Amino acid sequence: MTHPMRRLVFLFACGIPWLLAAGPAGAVEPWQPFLDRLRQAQMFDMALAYLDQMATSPLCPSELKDVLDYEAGVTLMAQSRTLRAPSERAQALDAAQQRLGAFLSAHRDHPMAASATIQLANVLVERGRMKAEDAQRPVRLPDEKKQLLEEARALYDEAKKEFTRTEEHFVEALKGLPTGLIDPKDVKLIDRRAQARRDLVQARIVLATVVHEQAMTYPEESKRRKELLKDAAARFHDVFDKFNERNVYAAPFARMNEGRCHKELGDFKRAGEIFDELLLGKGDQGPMRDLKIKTLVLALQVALDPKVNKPAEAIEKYEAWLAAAPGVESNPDAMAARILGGRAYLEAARALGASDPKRTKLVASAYQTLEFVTRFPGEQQREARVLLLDPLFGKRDAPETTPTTFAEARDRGRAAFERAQVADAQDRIDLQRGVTENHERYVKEIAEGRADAKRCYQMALGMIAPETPVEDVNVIRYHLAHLCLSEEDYYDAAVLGEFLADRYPESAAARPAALVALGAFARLFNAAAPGPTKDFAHARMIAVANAITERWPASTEAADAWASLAQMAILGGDLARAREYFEKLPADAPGRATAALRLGRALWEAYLDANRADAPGAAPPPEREATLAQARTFLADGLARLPDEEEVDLAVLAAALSLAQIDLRDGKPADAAAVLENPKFGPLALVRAKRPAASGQQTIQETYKAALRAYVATRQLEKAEKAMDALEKAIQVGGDAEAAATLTRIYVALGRELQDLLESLRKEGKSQEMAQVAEGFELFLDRIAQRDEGNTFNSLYWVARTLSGMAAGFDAPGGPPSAEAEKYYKKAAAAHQKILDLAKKDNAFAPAGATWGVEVGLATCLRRLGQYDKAMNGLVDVLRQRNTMVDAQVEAARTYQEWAATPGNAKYYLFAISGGRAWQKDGRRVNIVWGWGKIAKMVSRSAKHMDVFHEARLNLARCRLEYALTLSGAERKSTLQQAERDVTVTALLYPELGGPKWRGQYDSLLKKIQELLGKKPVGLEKP
Amino acid sequence: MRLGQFVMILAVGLGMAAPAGALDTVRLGKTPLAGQITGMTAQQVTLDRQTGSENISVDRITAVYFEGEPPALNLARVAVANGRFEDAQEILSKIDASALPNRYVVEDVEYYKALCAARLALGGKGTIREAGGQMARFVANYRDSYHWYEANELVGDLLVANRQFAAAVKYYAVVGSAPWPRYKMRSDVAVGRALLAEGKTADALAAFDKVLAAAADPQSEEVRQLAQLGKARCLAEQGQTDQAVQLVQEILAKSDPENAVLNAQAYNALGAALRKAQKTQDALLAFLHVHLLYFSSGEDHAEALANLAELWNDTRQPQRAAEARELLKQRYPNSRWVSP
Repeated sequence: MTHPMRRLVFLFACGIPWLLAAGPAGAVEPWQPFLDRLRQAQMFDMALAYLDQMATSPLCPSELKDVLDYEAGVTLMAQSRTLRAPSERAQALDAAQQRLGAFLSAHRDHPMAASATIQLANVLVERGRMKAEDAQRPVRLPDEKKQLLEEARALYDEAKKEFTRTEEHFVEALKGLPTGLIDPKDVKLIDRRAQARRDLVQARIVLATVVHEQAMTYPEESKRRKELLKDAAARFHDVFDKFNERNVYAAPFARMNEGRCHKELGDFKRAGEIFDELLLGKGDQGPMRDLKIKTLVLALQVALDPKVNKPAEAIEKYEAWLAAAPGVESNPDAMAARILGGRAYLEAARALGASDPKRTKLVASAYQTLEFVTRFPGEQQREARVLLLDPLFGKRDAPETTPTTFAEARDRGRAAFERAQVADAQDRIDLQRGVTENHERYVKEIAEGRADAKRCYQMALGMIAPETPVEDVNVIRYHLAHLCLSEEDYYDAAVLGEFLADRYPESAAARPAALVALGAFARLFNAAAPGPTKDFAHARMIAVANAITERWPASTEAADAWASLAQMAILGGDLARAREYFEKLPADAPGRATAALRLGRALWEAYLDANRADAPGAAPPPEREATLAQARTFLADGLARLPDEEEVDLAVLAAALSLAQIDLRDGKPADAAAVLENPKFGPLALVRAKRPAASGQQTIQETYKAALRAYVATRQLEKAEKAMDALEKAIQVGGDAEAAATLTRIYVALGRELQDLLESLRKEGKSQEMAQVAEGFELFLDRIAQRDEGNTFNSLYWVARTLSGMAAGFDAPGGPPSAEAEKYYKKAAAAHQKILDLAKKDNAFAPAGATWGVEVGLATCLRRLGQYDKAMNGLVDVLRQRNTMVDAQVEAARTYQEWAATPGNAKYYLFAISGGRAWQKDGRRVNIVWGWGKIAKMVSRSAKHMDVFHEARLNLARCRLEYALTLSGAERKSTLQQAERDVTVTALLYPELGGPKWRGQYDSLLKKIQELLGKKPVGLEKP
Repeated sequence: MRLGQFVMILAVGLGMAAPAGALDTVRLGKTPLAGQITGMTAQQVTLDRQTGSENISVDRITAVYFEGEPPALNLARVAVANGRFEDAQEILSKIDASALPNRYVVEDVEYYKALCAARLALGGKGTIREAGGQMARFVANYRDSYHWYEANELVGDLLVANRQFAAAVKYYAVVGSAPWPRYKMRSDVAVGRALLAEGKTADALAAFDKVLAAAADPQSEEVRQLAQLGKARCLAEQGQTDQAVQLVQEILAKSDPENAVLNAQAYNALGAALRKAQKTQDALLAFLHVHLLYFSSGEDHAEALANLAELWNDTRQPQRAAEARELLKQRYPNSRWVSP
């Protein structure tokens, strides 16, 4: 909503000829009033179109031709105040500046040149206003608010200097003109002096306004605010005082604003006196009438201010105005006056006792006043509707009297429907703000309103007469469809909605009714189990969407329909269909960006799920890359189409993060970094700016992880280091009680992601990308490991884990490590050892119990480097202390297994199967190392260890197979049969066999065993 | 104080010239003629003045004020002149018919009541049938009223709005039977409009051309302009949109910008022609002239709003379209422009 003062100043500034002096009479094309009315109605686009039209029209008067640029500039400035997006506002101001500048260049001596100069200075004021308004947005943090307000004040100071210069220029211009009587025949001189006075008045009024606006950027009780308000009041008073006799309009305008300043200073008495003086003053037509209405609004605000609290006085003023000035219905100020009048009646009623007969009359007056306002679209309409929810009104449509005509039933139904809508809307707003005190009342109001509306509407449908307008009936049908949808009567809602859309496509209710039908079928679809009902609902949804598109092809309803269907398909996992529906969205449909982002994310997640389900070592099918490419396209397209919204939500942020992850996956870390840093939607930019959407811990962690990977891969090591430090700080600041463990988990996950990436690149044969990624990480890890300060257990552990992950990425399974893998295993081993050494020196270095994991990690590296004995010794040390540590047991079994594969060491298969390193525990001799058999047994009941279970069972069978190959004869056969049983028994007891990931491996192994046993290699039975 | 003196003081207070001893006033343009009305027919008003009796042709008369008429009657006339028919209706409803001094005042009150009902119905408030009946009764009962020809024309207009074209033409023919060329032209323009409303564009064009072919004189200038507007509508219907636009622009170039009715009709005609020519933006601007500047003429405002609602939809501005439709339904609920 534009500030009332600004509307006034705008009106004043651009309508100066109209306000200050009689305008040109008898003009053929009434351009000035038409232009003014277009601006007042906020149809700035039409005003600009009109000026363009006039530029080439034969009807254009010459006086308009000269000022086209000026009027366009003024229109653009007014338009800028109504635009939400800062970039659009700035664009409009730039265009205004350009047009005003063009006017001044071409018409330096034109009578409007002074106004144009002032308007150019006003551009500074507008830019200041933008900053001040931006500061008030709820999303602004205190520091940002402070910064913006300071910038606003600086712009206002600049504007004040400009206006002061202009004022001095006009004072000089006036000094050069005679002050006394001028010969009446010297019309030119008279006009010049009149114009000079107008210019000066205008400059002083605008200057005073700027001072006022600057005052409002300071906190309410601040000294500076009061100083500035007093200054503004004095300036307005000066204009009023000096020009009151000569200038019919500017003087009362200034006086009104003087009163406003006193109001804002809290001097309500003085303000009230000034307003009363104006209200009783001369003039009730044209601009004076408009000014009086604005003054009335201010006067009512004073009377209703809690510190004044004189609703009776407000009522008196309001009623006096009402009696004198009917017929101003759609004027926004008049509506504002009526709202205040309604409030005054309510407050006066509230002060009386419930049994006071005057109360009923006041409430009735309040109702009548506010109900009148609800008939007119505009910003006050909503306010009036909310006020009509006041408990003082009670339940107005009492069912004691039954409607007897269609019109009565319709009106009652509509009133009840609107009551429910307004209560619903207000409840949502309140809940968003955390206000819950009225929630229960609203819920009751919504339920009662809907029930009343339904009842009355159904009555109305039973009272249709031949002359009843069809459109009235259709509106009722639409509302009923809506009500049925709210009450989950989906079939009823769908029937009513489709009926309207099919039979009355020209009705204003047809399109929204079609969407109600679509929504009803969608909910039926969601609620139904797979089967005929679900299929039916889906088919109907398609039919409705097709019908909407056919009838209203370029409509937002058509776009909404396909976007909804695409979303449903995504949720149902049918991505092919989702793509099909998405393609039906017009290119410029408003919902296309959101739909693209949803689809892109869904495709990315499907890609990741498919990758996870692959058997180890299996190459992904070629079509999967196409899925990834599509995901990327949709995400990039959706982000590019995002309107210049004020605030990005979590869904958009998540989509941007997905795009960055895809870029990382594709070996495009620079692109990923660009996405993360994008000022509009980049997750990193938003996290740094502490935006609400980016405040969740999960979001912060994922963002910094992605940033770390992107910066490392692009060798922006300083940024990578900062990202890492920021991540650690964010987790600690988040108050996570297990911050250290959380950080470790994150680093482990990061290492895992890197490993996955390298594996994927290796499978795809992208050796160059692999080398680039690894090189970048190596540099970064070296940097972190070697830094003198700032290293913690977590950072070093991350280095060690990441190096292990890189080594594993280069390491092909089932053979000795490659040269690259060996290099990284050595580095990883050294890093692990460093941590253990540091932990030995300083007890506080590592969190309690954390070094066990480090030991296991070290053992893994040593195993792959072929240092089995050393690896096993380290693991046994751990297992002595923590015998049930599953990771260590698994690593030990692996070590035995790999050791056994080296020449002459087949005996270690038996240790891998049954365990080794016996010790005395609880009076019995048991193996410290369990081996695969016991591992499987120990974890078989643990759902979170099912992967370990299947690894153990598989390796158990593998070890038996490999061991059997070192045997001959019956011993070989029986060992092979045992291996076979290992697989078949597992399959019998666990038919799923851990899913596709493990099943494939069981199947291959069984076939191999069967072949060696001389059987047909049929593998596992089909599930 | 005598009633006559009281009325004289009141007349002065109302800004009317009140020569000594004269109690009825017949205004011819800006010139008031005072005297006593001794006779009245549809064609003339007989005024006894100090200089003698004078028969004043009705086509010269701008207004008549009667001795002893209630002040409210003049307030109602002022309201009617400003297009505030509802206000006028309310004022007239409070006049006590039994206290009216003579039949002329009674006729005047009846006429203005019927006029308000007719104008409101044509603008979409009230019903056409009832208003038509009321005005038809006036025509039947007050054949000697100086408003008689206008009343016939209004009945015709109401019949056209009710799509009873043949019956309308009969009433227009009565207007055409008046002894003044301007009334003949008015009748032809009215018939032309009826034919256009009926979809007989070629016949309507012929009717308008007939008016335009007649000799021009200052008294009939406004009627000629209305004929020109009608012709523009016909040309637009026939696809000759450039010519239609040019015709309307000629009228706008000459018209008094304060003539709300003429300008409203002109801008609507312009908008219709531009719309036919698919110049949507220009058409919007034309209709916006009516909506923002010349909205006092209800029927024309309703037409503008209906067109604006459709054009806003075409230019994908559903909010503005909804506002225009809403305003149309609220202000002119029974207008033919409200879509069924």
